[in-house]
Amino acid sequence: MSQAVSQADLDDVTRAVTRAVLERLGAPSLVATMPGSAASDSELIKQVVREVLSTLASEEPSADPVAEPPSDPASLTTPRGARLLPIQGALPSLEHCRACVEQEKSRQRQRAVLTTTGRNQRGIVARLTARIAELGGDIVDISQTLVGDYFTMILVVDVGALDVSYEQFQTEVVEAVRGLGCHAMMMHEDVMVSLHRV
Amino acid sequence: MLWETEEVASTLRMIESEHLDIRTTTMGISLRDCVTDDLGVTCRKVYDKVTRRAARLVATANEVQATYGVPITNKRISVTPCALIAEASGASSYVPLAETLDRAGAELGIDYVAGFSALIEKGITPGDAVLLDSIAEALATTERVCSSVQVATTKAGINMDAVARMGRIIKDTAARTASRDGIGCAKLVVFANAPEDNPFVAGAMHGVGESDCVINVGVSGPGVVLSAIRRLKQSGRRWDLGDVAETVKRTAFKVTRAGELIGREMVRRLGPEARFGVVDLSLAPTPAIGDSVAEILEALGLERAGAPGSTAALALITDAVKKGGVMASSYVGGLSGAFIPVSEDRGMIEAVEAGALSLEKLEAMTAVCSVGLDMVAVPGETSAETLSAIIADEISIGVANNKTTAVRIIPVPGKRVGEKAVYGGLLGEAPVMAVSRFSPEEFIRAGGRIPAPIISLRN
Repeated sequence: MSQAVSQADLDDVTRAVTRAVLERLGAPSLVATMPGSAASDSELIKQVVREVLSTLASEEPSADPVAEPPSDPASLTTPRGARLLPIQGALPSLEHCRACVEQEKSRQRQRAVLTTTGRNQRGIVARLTARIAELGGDIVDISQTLVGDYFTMILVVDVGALDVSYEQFQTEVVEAVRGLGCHAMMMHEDVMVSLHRV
Repeated sequence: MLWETEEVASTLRMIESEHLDIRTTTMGISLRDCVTDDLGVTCRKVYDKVTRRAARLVATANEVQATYGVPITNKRISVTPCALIAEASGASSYVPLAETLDRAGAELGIDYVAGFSALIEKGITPGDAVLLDSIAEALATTERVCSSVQVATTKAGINMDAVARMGRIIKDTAARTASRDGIGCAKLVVFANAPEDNPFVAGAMHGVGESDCVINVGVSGPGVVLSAIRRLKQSGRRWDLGDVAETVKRTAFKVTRAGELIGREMVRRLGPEARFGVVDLSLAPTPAIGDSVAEILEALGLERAGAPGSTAALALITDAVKKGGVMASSYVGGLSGAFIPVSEDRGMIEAVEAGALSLEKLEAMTAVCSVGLDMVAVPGETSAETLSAIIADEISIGVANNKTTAVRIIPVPGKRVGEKAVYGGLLGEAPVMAVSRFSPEEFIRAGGRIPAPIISLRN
């Protein structure tokens, strides 16, 4: 968040926003079947509220989240370009929405730890980091050791604003490294934090 | 550097080569709202509820596995003890309910649905009786259903009539699955002090005091613990059993933390229906090489699991696992100890085959670990009374020590000591163990209830 917001303010905002979101999503026309939809109600609510909160945190004016319900809900796009999809089934409670927002706040960062090993090659760092940047990753830290011809590189990558899903990012980066003749393994930082920090 | 190289390397090593994995994420589902006076209607309600609640269990586990790289080996379901659910129906067999659970499991892609169970520590109600009579057929005709029966608690004492009955049920179940080495018995557990939130099959059940839908996680770390102990021994410096305890404690912390992370993430993604239950921090082996609790005992300096010193070593390990794991998770529950299933642990199998591990030594070891006589194959000709007496012994250990103990014993039809029962997969293979030839018949036939021990009067 770019400005200090008190917990009470945040609660109020969360409440108001979630109420508005629930009202919008609760419209009967939205409860439609969508074949192959993998989005769960809670996942969607969380995504929307997260979008709203990050919009509130930024300086740019954004679409008023408590605006009139749109005539065609499927055409609605959030400021970051996500499309609002119809949901099926029972709606999550206000409690749950609040809990999701709390949980998102506590997950302040989304990072991955990438370990690469192989024979040293010209330009490998440049090509790997370029690919990561292409996919929307932001390299936060690099450490490299060279033993003779072999190197081990550990990169910490911020994956909070990827252009693709985390799983896809992981697949593409590991593939890119393999294409450079080296071996890579990626771990979500949460695993590291949970195992090595009390 | 945000992360030390050693931290990154050790995490990769744990996942890639030391078999760190989540043994199971088990969804516990309450069937209390499915009770009706018509078993057909109850079955339909059960099917609907289970398939609805667990619809995304497998997919979510696969997603979480993909994100974190920690394998989630099994996704399972446990339900409210079925005797409670079916009793009001007045039906004379609950096999249809077992078949319903089996179908639901198949639909969801789940390999085990546990909870075809009864709690009869103080007495057997009409519903309990029907369930007991349905067990053998249910386990023979279904693939995925697991059953458990609680015959004693520290507070209630031991229902010896129930114990006698279970010996007969086990024989019957074995006979009905004789062509598959009595595999029905591999899905049947007799308990003292059964936990309400145990995520490990075959004894999992969703207790009456639980909420509507929970996720319980069982971790698995024998491989990680074994590697840590081996590194300690190879470190070159002098080590004693205190160092071993410390090493196991720290390792158990990490393993349990993985379970906590995965469990929380599963619940987060599954949405409002599922709540976080517990992490069961048990050390649970598999037949895979390097994933053995017996090998841990051997790494401590015993020639074979079952040699003198095994009970002490196991006590050390189990205690260290608990101490490390408890710090790692907000809610620890289930069995939370060390498992010594004979067929599911390569080191245990070899110990039996080498003649190092006997049934009697196994019984002693169960006094300090968490499961009991688990996946023990005995000769097919073992009498029901002898089986009941073996059960009574194990149950008494649990009752007298205020801990959970259980028996999953298989009298393998047509097989004798020196032969093996082969089940495959996680159930592994079990060498048939020798049983005392002396008879407990009169003791078992006496029946009745052994009163609760004095330690139960804690008020």
